Amino acid sequence: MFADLCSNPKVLKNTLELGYTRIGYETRTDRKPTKMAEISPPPQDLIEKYQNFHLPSGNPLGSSIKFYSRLTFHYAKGELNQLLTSGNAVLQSYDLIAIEPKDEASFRFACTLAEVDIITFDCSQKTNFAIKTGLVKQAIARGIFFELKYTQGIAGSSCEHLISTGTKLALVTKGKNIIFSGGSDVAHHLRGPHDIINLGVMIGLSTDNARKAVTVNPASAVLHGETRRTAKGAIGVMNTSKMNGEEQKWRIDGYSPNSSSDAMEE
Amino acid sequence: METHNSNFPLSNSPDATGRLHNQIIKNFFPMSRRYCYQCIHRKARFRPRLGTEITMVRIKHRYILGEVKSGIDLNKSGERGFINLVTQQIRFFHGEYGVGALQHGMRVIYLNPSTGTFLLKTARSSCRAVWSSLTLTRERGNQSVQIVVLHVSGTIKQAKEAALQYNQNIILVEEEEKEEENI
Repeated sequence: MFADLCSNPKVLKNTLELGYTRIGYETRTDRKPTKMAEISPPPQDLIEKYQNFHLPSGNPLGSSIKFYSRLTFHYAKGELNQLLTSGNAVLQSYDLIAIEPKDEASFRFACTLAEVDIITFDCSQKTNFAIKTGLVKQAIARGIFFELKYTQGIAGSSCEHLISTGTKLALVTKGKNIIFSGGSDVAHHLRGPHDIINLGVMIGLSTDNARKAVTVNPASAVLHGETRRTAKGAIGVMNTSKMNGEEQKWRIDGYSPNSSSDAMEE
Repeated sequence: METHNSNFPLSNSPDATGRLHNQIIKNFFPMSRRYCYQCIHRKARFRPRLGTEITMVRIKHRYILGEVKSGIDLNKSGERGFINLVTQQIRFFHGEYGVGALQHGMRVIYLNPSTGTFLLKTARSSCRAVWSSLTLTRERGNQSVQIVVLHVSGTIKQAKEAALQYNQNIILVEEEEKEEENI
């Protein structure tokens, strides 16, 4: 139910203990990822291990753990603009794509034209660019989410910049389309989801919107990523060898649940 | 002993005049009369309930149940050390004004040095500000501190239930992990 879309495999156990069930692993680049080797998919062994994990929040039936892969571009000016509108196959293999704009030009591009799901802010320093209402409105209309990493207020020397960008965002977005996530690989920087909801309230969101920022909005961002990958959100392509479970295998021609696995490999 | 003035303003909330009415009835009217002449003419739901306490406005509190996961040695510092930490953090984030405003209703009700679990009582209005300074604590001296808030409630009873639930879940998780290791 609670999501942390910018996590690290090192602190997996801590994030699960705190109650997060939707976890995203981040790869950061400021260059074009040209080779498949540069992608790091979510760690399969950890997924298998934690499939039946009962979480401290006490809801064994509801909360299954899901992992997402995410790619973050941090760049300035217009270096990677073309890449982000191209529909590159390498990019399409990630569940989520994020931009961390470093100046006004990249922020403008991210809000208006880029095919991304999340716009991140670097809260360890003051933002170079102004967060303009018009651009933010356009981004919200396109279904893009604005992300704040709360660990940057805890790891550094002051939480000043986190709160200043947070209040500015809360004002400009009117509370919609905001996501909170951790962005640290150090365990004692992480905080529980209710703490983060309270931080959202202190920033200026309503309690409802602050709660959405940790539960509903990350799920919406993942959905947005799915629609980005499918053609206009209507048609999807799936590799048959990667299909698991009854709910997906019925789609294969000639599949019946009692038959042997040979028939399914066609 | 106050006389029962006919011009006495009867407020709508029975709680406010409850005890006064009980005293009046005891001292002025015979045992058989349950309500004074004015109250009997009020609608039944606005009559002061017998045996009610006198408090004009209920002062409400919030109880923050949390866990200090790492960093401080609570055996050494104890409750005083913990309160000092919290006020230090409030001073850091909300300044002198914050300390003045938020320190008022703040008290440690329960502190377990070995597990790090604490129950902090705050005034209802200052709960969120205190909570935010707890979550943003980063270090004390040289050590990095992590405080996680588990439950915020209006009564100690609910906080106790939440703490029990949390501990039960931890035990469940540990048992499952042991089973998986054995398998």
